[in-house]
Amino acid sequence: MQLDKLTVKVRPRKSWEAIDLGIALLQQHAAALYKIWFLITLPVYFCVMFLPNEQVVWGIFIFWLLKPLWERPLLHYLSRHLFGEELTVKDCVKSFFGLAKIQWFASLTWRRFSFTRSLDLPIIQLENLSGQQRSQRLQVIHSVGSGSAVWLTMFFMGLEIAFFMGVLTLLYLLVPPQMANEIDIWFWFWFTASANHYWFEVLQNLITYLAISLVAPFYVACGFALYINQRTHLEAWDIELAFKRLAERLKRLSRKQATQLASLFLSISILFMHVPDLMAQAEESTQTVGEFLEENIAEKSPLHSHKKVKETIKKIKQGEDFNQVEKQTYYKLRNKFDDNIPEKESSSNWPVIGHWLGYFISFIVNFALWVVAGVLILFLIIKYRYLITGKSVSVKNKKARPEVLFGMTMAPESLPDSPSEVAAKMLASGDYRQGISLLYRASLIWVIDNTDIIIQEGDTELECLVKMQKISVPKLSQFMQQLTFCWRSLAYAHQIPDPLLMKELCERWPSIFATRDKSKEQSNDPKANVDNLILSEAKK
Amino acid sequence: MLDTTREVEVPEGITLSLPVAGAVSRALAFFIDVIIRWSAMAVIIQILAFFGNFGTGLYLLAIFLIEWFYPVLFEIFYHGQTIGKKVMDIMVVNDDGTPIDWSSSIVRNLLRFADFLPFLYLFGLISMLFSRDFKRLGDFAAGTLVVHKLTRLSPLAQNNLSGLAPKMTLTLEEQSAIIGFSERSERMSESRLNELAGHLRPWLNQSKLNQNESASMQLKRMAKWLRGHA
Repeated sequence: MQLDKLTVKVRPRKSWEAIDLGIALLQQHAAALYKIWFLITLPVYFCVMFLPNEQVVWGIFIFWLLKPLWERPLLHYLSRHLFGEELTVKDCVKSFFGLAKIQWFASLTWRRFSFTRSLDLPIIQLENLSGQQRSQRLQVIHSVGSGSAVWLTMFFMGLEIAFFMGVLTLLYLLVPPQMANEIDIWFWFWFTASANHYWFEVLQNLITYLAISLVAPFYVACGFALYINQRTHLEAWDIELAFKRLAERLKRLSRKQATQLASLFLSISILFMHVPDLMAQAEESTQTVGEFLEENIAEKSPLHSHKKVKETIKKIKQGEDFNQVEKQTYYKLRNKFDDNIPEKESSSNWPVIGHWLGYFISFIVNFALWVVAGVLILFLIIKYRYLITGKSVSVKNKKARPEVLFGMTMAPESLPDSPSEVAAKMLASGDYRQGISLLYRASLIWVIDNTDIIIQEGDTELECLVKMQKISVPKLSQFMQQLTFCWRSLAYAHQIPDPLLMKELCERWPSIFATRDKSKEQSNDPKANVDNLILSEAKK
Repeated sequence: MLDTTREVEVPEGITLSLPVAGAVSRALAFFIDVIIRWSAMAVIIQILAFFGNFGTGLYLLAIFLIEWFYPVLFEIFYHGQTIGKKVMDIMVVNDDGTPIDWSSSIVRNLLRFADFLPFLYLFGLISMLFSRDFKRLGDFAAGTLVVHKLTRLSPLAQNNLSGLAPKMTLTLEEQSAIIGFSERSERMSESRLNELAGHLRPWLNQSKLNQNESASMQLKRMAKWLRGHA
């Protein structure tokens, strides 16, 4: 056994991890292992499958009983490949009869039903042990723990059942519904020997065979990995490998050191040939360096000796920084069971009842106070939640804000500081379209921001106007009517309205929408602005 | 070298190897969980049977919640472990080794029904047997791994050996081999110990070897030195 040829990482694993290694092992060699399995078992399966009608069930039973024999070539292949030996599928299949002979009788009878079969197989097949030796060896291998081998067997038995039932269910789901009604589901899942359903039984046999075929290579690989792991625990294979590697490294190192020493010696001898020249050059500098070292390290540093270090540490520890005493006063909950506070002795006749009544009342009051406190906090949070969330509670934030109306952006940021002045300039320069559009846009944005009016994205100009006329502020609605008229004739009819009217609109604009800037900062109540408007209207 | 670990590189440039857990331990953990879940349901059904139709409605709800959220809640609030996983010492983590989060846990557990198909978790089992990281379909969807929990180093058994500093510089791997040698020495026979220690014999303290201190004893003392007071 040459451990350094191992193709698997050995380390002492938990037995569950070892089983996982077995699965990985199978995944690596899946193609070869399944090839071996089918090459050996397919002929056998065909033989047992075509038994006369009544014996179909027995055929698969015999096949199942002989399973330990089919498993041996798989283990053979795995064990060779574990140590890096290339074994071809052909050679492995050829070795079948030789392997099958080993202790075949015991393996097929009483040991057939052992739950640790997968773990025990390597001992007879790979270690070639039998009789007393075998059982002793088994004891040693099982001493690390064989519980997981039992669970391994249980798991794969379960997998076989799951495969059988799963495939049958799949087939059942594929049966057309007209026919499915006639099928008895219990019959579907269970062997029922009757001549009428011969082909169905053959199908069930085939599924069983496939289930066994799926599981067997995994079972062997997992058992083998478990065996390897038990031996790794017992014999410390990983440590042997590590020690060998270490020894190898040290050997190389010592050889390397020898060569390095030789080369060093050589270079020194070459150096000495030029020493006189070098000495002359180096003399000054070496002296200064030496002095520098002496001054700085040896004397100036207080830490140069062990004793001084200890003294310094002691000094620092005794210093002010480590010895400050601070007094803290804090409130502590008074416990009724606190022994430190002596209870007053009551002279009352009903000390106990009074006592409990007191506790009861205090409990009620306590509870009530907590409730009040909770409600208060909740109330405050709800009332001032805009402080926390940063959003105001007002309606204007709740209403959906149209981003674009009639192709104009409705973002307040897009407006200049005083829209009416800019618009007036545009009008003066003859750019009527731009000017009126700006004025109209600014008005709409103000309305969206500062009133309850809800303007939706799909609204037309006239619909907006109607909505604005609904909140009875005559000044606003009249202004908007004129402006909307101007805007519509400009935008859609391409007619230039009366320039005087447009100029007048620009001049009136600030007086109507004056509250805009202030309101943005102040108020949470949109109604207030409209009220202001009405007030200013009334004054006039 | 074949191994069952998955390498994950963390942002700090360190490579962690996660020991991925395979079908067998996971199936057993699942089986334990099934027993726990079903016994819980049996108890609930018994209790709610007193309430007639209303009780029936309640226990249908309870069954739904237990069946689907037992694993999710445990995985989130119990370090990626259900009770069954705790027994088997395995846990769920994200593919990159970080603790599992709500969305991954919900996805992997709701997709259990895909693994269940066509019957008795056949798809899930086959997926676990043939995928590289032993993942079932739900794990693929959620990007999760089930790994063996790393066990802590057990404290070294108290012995009266005095530590011995190794003369050579040792790599981390070599140090752990020497420590492992010492820790596992009680399991091994004297002859096997000598055989193992024999590989390093030429590099040990020769004068002490001549004074009848065996090579394995020197290695044990070295291990004591390497572990310090831990």
